[in-house]
Amino acid sequence: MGQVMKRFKIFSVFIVIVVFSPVFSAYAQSNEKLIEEGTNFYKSGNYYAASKVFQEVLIEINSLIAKNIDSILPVTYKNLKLGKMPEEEGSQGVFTRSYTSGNEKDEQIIVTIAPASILNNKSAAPDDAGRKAMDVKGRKALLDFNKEYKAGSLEIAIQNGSIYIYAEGFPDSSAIVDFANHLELDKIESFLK
Amino acid sequence: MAKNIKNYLATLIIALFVIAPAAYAQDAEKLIDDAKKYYKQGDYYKATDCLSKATKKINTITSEKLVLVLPPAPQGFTISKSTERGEGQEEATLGEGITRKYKSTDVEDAEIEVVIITASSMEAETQETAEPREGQETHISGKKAWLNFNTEEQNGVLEIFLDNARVRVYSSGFDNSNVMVEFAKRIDLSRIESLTK
Repeated sequence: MGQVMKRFKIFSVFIVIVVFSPVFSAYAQSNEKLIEEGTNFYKSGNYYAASKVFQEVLIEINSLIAKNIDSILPVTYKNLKLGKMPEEEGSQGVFTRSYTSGNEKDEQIIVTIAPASILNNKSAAPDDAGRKAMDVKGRKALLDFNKEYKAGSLEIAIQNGSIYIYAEGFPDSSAIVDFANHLELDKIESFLK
Repeated sequence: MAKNIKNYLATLIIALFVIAPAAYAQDAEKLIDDAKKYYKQGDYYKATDCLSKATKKINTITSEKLVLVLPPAPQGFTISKSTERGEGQEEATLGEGITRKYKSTDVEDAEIEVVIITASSMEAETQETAEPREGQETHISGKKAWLNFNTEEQNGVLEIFLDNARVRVYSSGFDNSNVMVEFAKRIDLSRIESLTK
């Protein structure tokens, strides 16, 4: 039985690779084709058309980056579950993902990831307006938590971007800091290099 | 002497309009090549960074060409303000307005403002899909437009729809819409359309 299960697992992995490889490859090919199309418009002096095509490509690539980052976010955090990513999310570069328990009155955590290009290439280091400076996995971060409202935020400066975590329904800041430490910051940064 | 200075200035202005877009074009070409290279390597973030910068430079070229479409000041007007790349922007992005204000020398505190807005892919409103505006539908040089003029307040706007752009002509201080309409007729709409194809 164990042997059958092992074979089934290997077969499943094989099927996933076979099914999804062409999907990603098609994505890449269509974007390359669009870049080529935009280049041709540009070279023939059709600047407006070139610009529109490149904007379309930017939306596609941004969505691809968002999907990559989404795939490495924790699927759950304690009793909270990461919701399904909407199709358009991330197309403009910045993207937001929510962790909820399904009950609106309960705790929730919202993560927003913004690449530096969205921040106009300014330093990703957040402004410290009244917030507590701290360290999250070796990155500079600023914490702002209001115990009375049971809500707060933690902004982490990563290479080429910023991660903003908002949490509510928690008695203190320990959950937001703990959640931040669950994030694979090295991997997120690798998608923004 | 004065003639020499005039000739020199004219040459300088022409040179600026020829050299500046050429420099932007060279930069944009390099950025597009880099974007292609990064995309092929799987460095998507770097690819978007290059492509985004290239797009801004390309939009700047379009904006600088569109500025030339803005009509010169007719008799009885002086140009009071002109924005070439969108207010406060070093480089233009689609959707920003290119504006020029014309101050009347005959009517006190009266002015006309012409704004060209290039539609981004997200907000493109064509002649066919344009939602009705307040005021009356009319046509300027064969293009669909909406005229809205408040005689009591002596101000109004004429909005002309092109396929990938909109032209707005604002009027203030005049007691009727005639000046605004005449201004609109002087704008080379077909040139704007050819630049935004």
